[in-house]
Amino acid sequence: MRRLSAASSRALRRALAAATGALLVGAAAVALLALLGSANAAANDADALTPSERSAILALGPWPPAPVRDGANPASGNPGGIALGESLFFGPRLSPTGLRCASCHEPWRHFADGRAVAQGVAAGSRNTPSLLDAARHRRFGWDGARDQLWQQSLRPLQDAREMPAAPAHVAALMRGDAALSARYAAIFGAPPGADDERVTRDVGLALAAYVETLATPRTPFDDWRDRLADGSEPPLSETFPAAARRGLRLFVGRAGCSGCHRGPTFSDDAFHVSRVQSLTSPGVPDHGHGDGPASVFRTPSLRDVATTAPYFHDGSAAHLCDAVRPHAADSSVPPAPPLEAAQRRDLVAFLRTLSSGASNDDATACD
Amino acid sequence: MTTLSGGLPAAVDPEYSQGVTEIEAQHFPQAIALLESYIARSPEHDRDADAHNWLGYAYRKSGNLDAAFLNYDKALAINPKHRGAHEYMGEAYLMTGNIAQAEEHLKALDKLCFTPCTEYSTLKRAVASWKSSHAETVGSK
Repeated sequence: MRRLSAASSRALRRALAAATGALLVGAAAVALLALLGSANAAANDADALTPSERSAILALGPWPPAPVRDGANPASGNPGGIALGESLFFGPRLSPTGLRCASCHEPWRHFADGRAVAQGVAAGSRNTPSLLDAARHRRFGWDGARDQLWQQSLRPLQDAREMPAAPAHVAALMRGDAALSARYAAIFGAPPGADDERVTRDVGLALAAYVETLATPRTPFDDWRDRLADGSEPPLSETFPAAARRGLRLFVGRAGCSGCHRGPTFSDDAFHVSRVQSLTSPGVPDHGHGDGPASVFRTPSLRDVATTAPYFHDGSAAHLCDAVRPHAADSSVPPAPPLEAAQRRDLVAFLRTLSSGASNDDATACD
Repeated sequence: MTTLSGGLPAAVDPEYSQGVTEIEAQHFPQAIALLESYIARSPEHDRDADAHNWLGYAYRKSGNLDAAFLNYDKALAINPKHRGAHEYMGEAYLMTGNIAQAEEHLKALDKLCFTPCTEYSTLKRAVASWKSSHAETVGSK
């Protein structure tokens, strides 16, 4: 190896010394920041909840609410109607394609499908929402295009990309199967008649009666929140750790999440402009709700959210940590500040307490 | 293995074990009656993924795909890693001609089987056989 000249050697030593010094200063600064950060976090952890925080947190429960019943639907709450809806939901005959409702709303994937966008007979353009707690909404689907659950239940049959089935096919199934026909008659008062549209509507009513029964269970957050409602703040635990408490305070506080994700369902059931923009087909923007140019979608519930990745109407957020960036662009919602990685980790820790099952989200996504 | 409330394995429950015996003898109506009764007897039995999987199998072999799918879905909702239910669900989809969904369950088995497992290899053969026969049908037209 070529030897360095004396001058080069001195220059190298000076450069090394400067670099080492800089490294030491940098390391000290990082250590100081970490210390300050942990001190802030510790102070934040020790702070008592303010009255407004407490009030906002209590408004996120209690859970579960009373069961939903649709008085206009003879199948609703009727064991025979629910069972008929369940058979149709899981069976492969409703659509001539052989696709089932449960092909995309898979029970083992919390009634979603785990894909970015739905895959029926053709690829769709929106994420398949979970059906759990669907009956708690007043409008259905990402765009809220239907305001009756039975209408929404028929929508995949009417979409050429999902599980298309003409009313004539649905009605022929109900008329041609003796067991289905008898179960139909027991609920709707007569066997399926010649009016295909009428029979298909009743199939929607039976499907809705089944979907009404799909609900998320209580979660670690609900236990913590109910104990808070009973009196003093409950202790932290493995299921509701300090990070979740910090995330909850951000959620109802400066992150602004509860402006839209509010109430026991964590949804205001309203429409908001989303920063997330997507296409329904090549070159065609997805406007969602309404005819305006903006990207407008209904606020989704956050219950069970950690088990139903990916996120947003187009499934573009693979992980919760990607989804907890500011995403509302609505004039009715105060602009949310950007969040640091540690804050997003805390928000994710809180969101995980809204699920009772194992998360399918990657916990390292914030790192 | 699934256990009863008394700690005994589900396999020793008379209705359950007789139901499985009837399936092995291909007496599917008898198997369905026994397994439906076993599942209805307690909420714990209703959370028995194996029982739902066997029941789904008996329904499928009887030609009742509605009930077969329902029970496979129940088995997977209880245990998303139930290899038998993934295999049978894939085979049920093949019966409806839905190769894409059958392959989804084959993919799920591929992830679940770190070492070679019969559920994966059986479904893989069934998928290949379906494709082969489908291609022949298309080719003969």
